[in-house]
Amino acid sequence: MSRQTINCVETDKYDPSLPLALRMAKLFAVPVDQIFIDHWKPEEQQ
Amino acid sequence: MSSAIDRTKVRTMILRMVSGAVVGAAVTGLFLTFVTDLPDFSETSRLAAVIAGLTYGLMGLAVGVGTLAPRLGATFLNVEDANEISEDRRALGPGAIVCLLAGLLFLALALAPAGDFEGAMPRDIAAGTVAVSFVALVGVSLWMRRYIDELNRALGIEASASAMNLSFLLFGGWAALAHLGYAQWITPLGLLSGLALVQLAAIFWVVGERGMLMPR
Repeated sequence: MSRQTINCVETDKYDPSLPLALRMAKLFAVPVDQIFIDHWKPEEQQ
Repeated sequence: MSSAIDRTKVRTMILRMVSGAVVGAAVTGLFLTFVTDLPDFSETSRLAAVIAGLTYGLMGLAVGVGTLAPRLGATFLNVEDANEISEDRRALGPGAIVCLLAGLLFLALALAPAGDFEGAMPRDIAAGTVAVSFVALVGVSLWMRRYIDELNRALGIEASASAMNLSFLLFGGWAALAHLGYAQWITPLGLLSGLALVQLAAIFWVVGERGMLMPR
């Protein structure tokens, strides 16, 4: 993975694929939702 | 502070784009003035082929020189520093070769004799150049796929889809008008050059839409 790709993921210019997101989480030993924050909630929880 | 940085980045981006346009226009002008001053060379489809050839060629040259001399390349390529070029040289190098081959292909087509145009290059040499460039271009493109990462693959797919839609709209609409007798259909060279230029425009559109033209 290039530095450009990492930069684009960090600056929210590119959403990585699920396999890449899972690998990044594995690399940093954290769950995926700690790296990629999503504020969306299902309708019944809003 | 951040808006000051953004203003600097926008200024740098505009400066780079204007510089690229000026260099491209100057090289095209010089090419048309000195390389060939044959009559009918300014015919639209041939001019489009020259513009496509020189645009791809200059892009290939810029990326190629930048890859061979990373410190120099870091001054005009959109990278963080020279190390980034060194890290990505396995993708940048073949990318530069592909652009140079595409440039060569279009310039050979533009210089080849066709119709009333006598040509600035013998037909056989032009055909050989086109064939060799085409085969090498396809070969290098396939070979470099292993060095392209997820982002660049995604950008390529997105740009190709946009280019396909735009080409269908532009050339499909034109073909429909030509079929109905409201417009004259373009030459094969015009179509080929048009497709290459639409592809290029789509790449810049997709990259720009993500804010990736902005200096990092």
